Amino acid sequence: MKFKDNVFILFFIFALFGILVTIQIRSTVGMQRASAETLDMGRLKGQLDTRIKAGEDYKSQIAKLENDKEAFLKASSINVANVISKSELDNLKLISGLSDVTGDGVIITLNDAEKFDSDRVMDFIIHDSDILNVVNQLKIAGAQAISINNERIIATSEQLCSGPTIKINNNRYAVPYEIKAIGDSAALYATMKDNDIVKEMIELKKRVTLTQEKDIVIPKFLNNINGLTSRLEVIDNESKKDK
Amino acid sequence: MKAKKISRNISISIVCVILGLALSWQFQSIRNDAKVLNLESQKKDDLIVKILNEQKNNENLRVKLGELQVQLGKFESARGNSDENLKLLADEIQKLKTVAGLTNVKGRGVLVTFKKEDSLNVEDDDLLFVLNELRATDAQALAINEQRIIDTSEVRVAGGYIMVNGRHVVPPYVVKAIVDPDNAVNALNMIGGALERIRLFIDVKVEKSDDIEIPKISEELIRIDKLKQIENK
Repeated sequence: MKFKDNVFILFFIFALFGILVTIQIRSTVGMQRASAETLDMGRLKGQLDTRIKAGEDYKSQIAKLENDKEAFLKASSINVANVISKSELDNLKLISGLSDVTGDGVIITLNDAEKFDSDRVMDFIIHDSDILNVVNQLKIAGAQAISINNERIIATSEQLCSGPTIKINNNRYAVPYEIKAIGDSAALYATMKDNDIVKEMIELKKRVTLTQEKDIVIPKFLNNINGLTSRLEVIDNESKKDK
Repeated sequence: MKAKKISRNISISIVCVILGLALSWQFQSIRNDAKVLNLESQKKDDLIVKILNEQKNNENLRVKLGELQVQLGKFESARGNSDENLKLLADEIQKLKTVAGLTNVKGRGVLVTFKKEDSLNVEDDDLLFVLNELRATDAQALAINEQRIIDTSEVRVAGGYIMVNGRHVVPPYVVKAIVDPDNAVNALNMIGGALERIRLFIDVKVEKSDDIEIPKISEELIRIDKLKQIENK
């Protein structure tokens, strides 16, 4: 009887010991995988940095070429004829969103709610419709230039949800979204402050801020311009009529 | 014999206690690891999304750069040739005007018609969604009825009427777009897409057309008095 007792206890101890060893090994393997993951993270971060740098490179090259082009156009407009003045070119660029602009206005930031119910995630994140509505409200309030995350909004700029990011001018952005608008800043502020769409977002605990700012800078539209007009056939062309 | 038994019992119980402690410690550490792992993979996903975003954005920049290079090449070869110069300049001006919405344009595209009888149900959201969907399929010119959509065009419901560019538009509401017609029709009719929800309340017709004319914006609607151009350095 005694003998049996001891064997039973020993059996129990060894069984537990076995379990412990297995768990230990499994967790070690898991940790190894985790450290591989952090290594991976380092690599990914490196990749992100190089991509960002490449983007900046492109931007500076584009800026340089655009300067060259500008210089060329202005030189030729003086040399060739006085038909088209420098100021007309500037004015057109201003209207079409192809120049950087500054002025007074408001800045709105939108971010997902900090805490949310996992069942109703969709209610707590920023959607394209939120942005679409905010932008439309800004236009109603008389905004003259609008950008989202420094992506200038022109006539054909979409704001479309695709997975965790929103596509604007064919470029992708994740939260938070910073919407800048230049116009009558008091009117813009007043409209947005009492806006139902904004209120509703705040009610859902989405993080919304609205500030009135001076000298906001909104960059020019940066994408391919040929892609904006390739399908269009201009009719009843005024500049031809002038000639 | 008895002393031996007691000492054995004591040692067994000590081993048991140690084993218990080790076990609980082990579980705790595993739970921590799991939490860390979860966080890491979340971060990793975020990072991957960011990388993909940058990559896509860089591609767009590259296209833009190519376009500029081609254009500058043309300028270079036209240097000294005044006719050629004038032509390039006129082209540039024309292009800018078109981008700004200052020219009447025509081309292939789609017409999205909201049935007249349902026009009281049409909300600004509905029109905005349709516009947005068309923009996402790279529409190059847009209008609601006769109002050209430019960068500052708003859509507003006011007392059962829809206002675009600060003007009433009269039902039936028609969104016109110059865009690849096949792409646009597919995008609009996509399951779960823009029109599915709208069609619950409103009869919407989408037609392709080879000849859509879109009028220019009236110049007095362009407001730029609050904007100051930043001179290039």
